Amino acid sequence: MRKWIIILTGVATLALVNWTITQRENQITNGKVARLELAPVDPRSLMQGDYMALRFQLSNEVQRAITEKKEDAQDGHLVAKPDANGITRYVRLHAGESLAPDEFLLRYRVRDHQVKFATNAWFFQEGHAKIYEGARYGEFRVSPAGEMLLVAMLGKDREKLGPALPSTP
Amino acid sequence: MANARDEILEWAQQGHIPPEHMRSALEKSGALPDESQWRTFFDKVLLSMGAVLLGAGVIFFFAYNWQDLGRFAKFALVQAPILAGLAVVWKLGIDGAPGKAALITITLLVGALLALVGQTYQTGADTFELFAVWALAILPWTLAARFPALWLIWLALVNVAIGLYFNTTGRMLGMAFRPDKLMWVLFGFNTIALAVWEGLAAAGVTWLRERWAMRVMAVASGYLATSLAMHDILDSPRGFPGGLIAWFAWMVVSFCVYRYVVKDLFVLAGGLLSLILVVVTAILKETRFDSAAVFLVIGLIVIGISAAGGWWLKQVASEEESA
Repeated sequence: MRKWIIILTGVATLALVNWTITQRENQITNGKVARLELAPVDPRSLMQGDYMALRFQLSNEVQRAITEKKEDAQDGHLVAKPDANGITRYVRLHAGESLAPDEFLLRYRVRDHQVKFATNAWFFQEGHAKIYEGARYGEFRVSPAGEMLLVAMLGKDREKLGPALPSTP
Repeated sequence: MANARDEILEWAQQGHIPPEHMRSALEKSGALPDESQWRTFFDKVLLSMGAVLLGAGVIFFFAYNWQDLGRFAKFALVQAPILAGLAVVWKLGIDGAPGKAALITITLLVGALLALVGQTYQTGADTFELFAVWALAILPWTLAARFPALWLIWLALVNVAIGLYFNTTGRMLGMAFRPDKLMWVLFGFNTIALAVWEGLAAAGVTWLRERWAMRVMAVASGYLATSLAMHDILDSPRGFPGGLIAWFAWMVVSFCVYRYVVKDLFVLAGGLLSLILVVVTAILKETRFDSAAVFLVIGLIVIGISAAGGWWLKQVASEEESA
């Protein structure tokens, strides 16, 4: 009996993990594309050997909107919209209202007084820093709930830099 | 507990056993392990080392081949040994040593798998979530396995999760992070865990009767109680001395329990250490570290408490032997 509890919950754990993996894979292939413009960062702290620190323009706009509200900064969603070049632009903070057809949600977290979209770092193979030096945009795939996954870095003409990550097997 | 070895050593000290007969006395009394005991010992050591090294081997293998493995290969590489471990549990059951070793290994691998998924798909989830999910995933195993070591791993995971959670939310709300709040929560958690464990063991749950596990928890709980008392003395001398009160209560209760109910010299000795630390902290705070004489006094106090404590512990120990 106890043995079976262990085996069944073990298999259930693996099943749940694999279900999560398929959800994420699904988001990477079918999620809505969001291209966020990078904000300039102090170049000395930009490249860290095997990753590059990221800061997006949108963070500043969210930061400003939160400061105007004069509330404690908390996690939330913002409403975004692509511009003519396909770059995602800030519209407003989301307060539960329904969206126009071209608008979509992005989830942000506030950590260490900074607005963060999914991740603050782009990881690459050590020695590949040169490839990403000219990065101007980060490309995300977004779920309907606004959950974001960073999938690629783009150059100034919105071309993909380096091997697409997470690299396909 | 009063074992033959101590008794024989005492007789030898008093000259009742001549040195040339020491060895045979120890062998005859069973104080020296015989062949089969050695074999069981080696079996256990090799099994647990094998289990740990196997887990480490899997992790190092994919760390080393990180670039050459696709992400699905990595997932498979961690999941396959988890399935193999479950198969071991299926074939050999959970009460024997191999089943338990397999369970420890796959417990660690579940953590590795969760970390790998989190690393591959960076959703921005906080680190405490990893430890919380890990603890949640192994909770059914912990409940079913009747295995103290697994409970300790579970308690450690919950401790880490609580610590990271406070770290994240403390900063998130933009308030000054108050370390004593975290210490209070961890003190409460570990003390309750210890009390429940001791209670169940006393109530007749025999597989919980592993003194070493309870000692680990007593160290955690006592360490936090001592830290709270020291925090009160050093950082908020004018505030409500909640930490000092908690520490004092902890000392009184654990003295009563480990002196008269369970009798555990290890914990009693830890209590003495805690007493020394708190007394010395209080003196240093009062005198503001300002004269050499203070250090002489402190030295004497430390010597005094340790000597008296050592004598007292010996007293308690011999009482145990004659009992």
